[in-house]
Amino acid sequence: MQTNVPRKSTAKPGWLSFLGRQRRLSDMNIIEYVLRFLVLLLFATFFIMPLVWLLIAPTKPYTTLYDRTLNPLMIGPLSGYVTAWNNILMFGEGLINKWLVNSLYYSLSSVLLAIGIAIPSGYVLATMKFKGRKVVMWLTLICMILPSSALILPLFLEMSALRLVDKPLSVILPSAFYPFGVYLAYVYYSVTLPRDLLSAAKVDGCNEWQSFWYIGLPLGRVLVATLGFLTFNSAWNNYILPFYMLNQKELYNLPLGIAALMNAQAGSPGFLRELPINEPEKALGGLIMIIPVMLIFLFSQRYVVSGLSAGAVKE
Amino acid sequence: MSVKTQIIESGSVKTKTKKKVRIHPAYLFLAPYLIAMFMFSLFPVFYSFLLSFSKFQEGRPIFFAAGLDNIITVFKDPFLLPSFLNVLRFLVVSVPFGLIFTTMLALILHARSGPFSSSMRTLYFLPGAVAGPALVLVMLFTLNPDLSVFRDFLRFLGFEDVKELVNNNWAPLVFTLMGFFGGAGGWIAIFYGALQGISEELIEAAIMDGCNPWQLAWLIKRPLIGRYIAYMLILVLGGNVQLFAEPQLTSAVTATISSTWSPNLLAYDYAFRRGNFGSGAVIGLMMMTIGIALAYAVIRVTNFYSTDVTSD
Repeated sequence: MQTNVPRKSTAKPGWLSFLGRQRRLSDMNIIEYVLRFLVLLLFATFFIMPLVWLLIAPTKPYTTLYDRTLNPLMIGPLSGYVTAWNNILMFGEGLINKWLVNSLYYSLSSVLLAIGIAIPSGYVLATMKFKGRKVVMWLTLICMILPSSALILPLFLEMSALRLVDKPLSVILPSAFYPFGVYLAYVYYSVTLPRDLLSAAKVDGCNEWQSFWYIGLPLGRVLVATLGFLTFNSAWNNYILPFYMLNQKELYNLPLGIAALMNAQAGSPGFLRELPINEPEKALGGLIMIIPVMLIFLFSQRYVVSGLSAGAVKE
Repeated sequence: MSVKTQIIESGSVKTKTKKKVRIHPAYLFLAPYLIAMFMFSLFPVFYSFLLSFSKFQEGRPIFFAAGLDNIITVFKDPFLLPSFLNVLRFLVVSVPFGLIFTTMLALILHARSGPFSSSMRTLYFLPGAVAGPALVLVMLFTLNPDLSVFRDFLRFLGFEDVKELVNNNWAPLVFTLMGFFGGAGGWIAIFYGALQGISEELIEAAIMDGCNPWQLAWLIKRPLIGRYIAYMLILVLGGNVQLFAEPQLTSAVTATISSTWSPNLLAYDYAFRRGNFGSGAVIGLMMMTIGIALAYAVIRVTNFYSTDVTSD
């Protein structure tokens, strides 16, 4: 009597079999187990150690940072953060506080506008039939592909003609146009919103506005979160747009401000520098820019990933 | 007014005419989006055509006054070809580098799930929060043999000074590392998610049919996450061609990389150092054409939008 029970064990575990499938430890021989562990750890080192260094850097004076005899991961006194912060405050009499406020102001306004525009548009494209729908879909896809950095010069001249250059609106308004968000909202509503629900609402006497308000919006909570993370991340880190649009340092956002710190007396040796803006201060500036987004990333990995990959989902 | 009179005149078909005249609510929902699309995307495209043929006096355009002068200026520019070659070299390094290592890491991570695998994924993902000037800052520190957390390794490789690594020769690799540091984790997480969608039975069946691990990865898993890889290719190619912030900041800080390293930097140079917005717009148009052509090619080759929006 023969039965074909031992199906799983027919494949011989070679050292490359880790590429194959989900395996239990027992299936893996010790060499490939160690190899996999080492490769993953090696890349983890590449991804994390620069950030650990950045976190530690402000605790030490820059002469210590350059000292080759010391361990680069040695932690200095925590008062180093205070010293570095006070030094940054000397740059333009506390400009960094303005940059922080500006960054929050520009990012949050862009996020609100972008979501407010994208969600109704995606909803309409997914649920209604009307003339020109296909044209709008095509234009959305084309705008997603259009490289924004190649359009920045005409955009700058347009803003200049509208007398908006060197005003917050020149950064906020273009960031509010987010065709990828519209596409995302379209995909989302195509998948999650049953057509029957809308027909039922219509039978019950809902007009289009009420259907959107009472059915579409409440269903779109996940969408709001995803769009919020994506747009906040890109608005917070936006560099090229404010780089073109803003001249006054008082109007800079954090990325422009960090760039200004990086350039502060670039190339002149330490003893000639007028301001104490050195590596620890630059590192602290970088941390101030990175940490809010990193916290969002840490707590919302799922949303960010689902939002990013939604563009590749076909329905 | 004409609408109203029409309705009154054709009183017999009142209801039908009224419905036609009413603005479909879709257009009201879409109005802000369409206005923004026109202002921040479609008009700038049209405007760059106009600017390409315009002369500038005191920062104001005189349309069509330049004829083909702007275009001739750009093509005679000795910095044009090097800037395109720089980006080409960067693409040749960065695209295979990114594709190979992200898919490889996703496959290795997926080989065994568990707390180790998921914590590694989170670690890879975190640098995604680092972008723009912060990314350049972190990587310039990391690639500096005097400061770097990896300085012993950099010295082992023979680099003694940051200028030996961050310069025009090594720039393609430097910008590749910047992009990989900030972007890889997101793609790894996406590929991992896609791999988890593959059914275990399918893998078992392939193994039964005699697939070795390489064949399994290449013939079974890769096509199944192929759509995601194509998506990455579209975005990475598009983004990398348009390199601006990284070379601009690196050039400003270290002065060892040319200030016209990429075409987008050259366009900026034309506009704001030479006051020639027209020639800047010409380069912008060239970059736009390349961007669209690349995206179109990838979409065609991979059939990306095949069953999507465009088919209904």
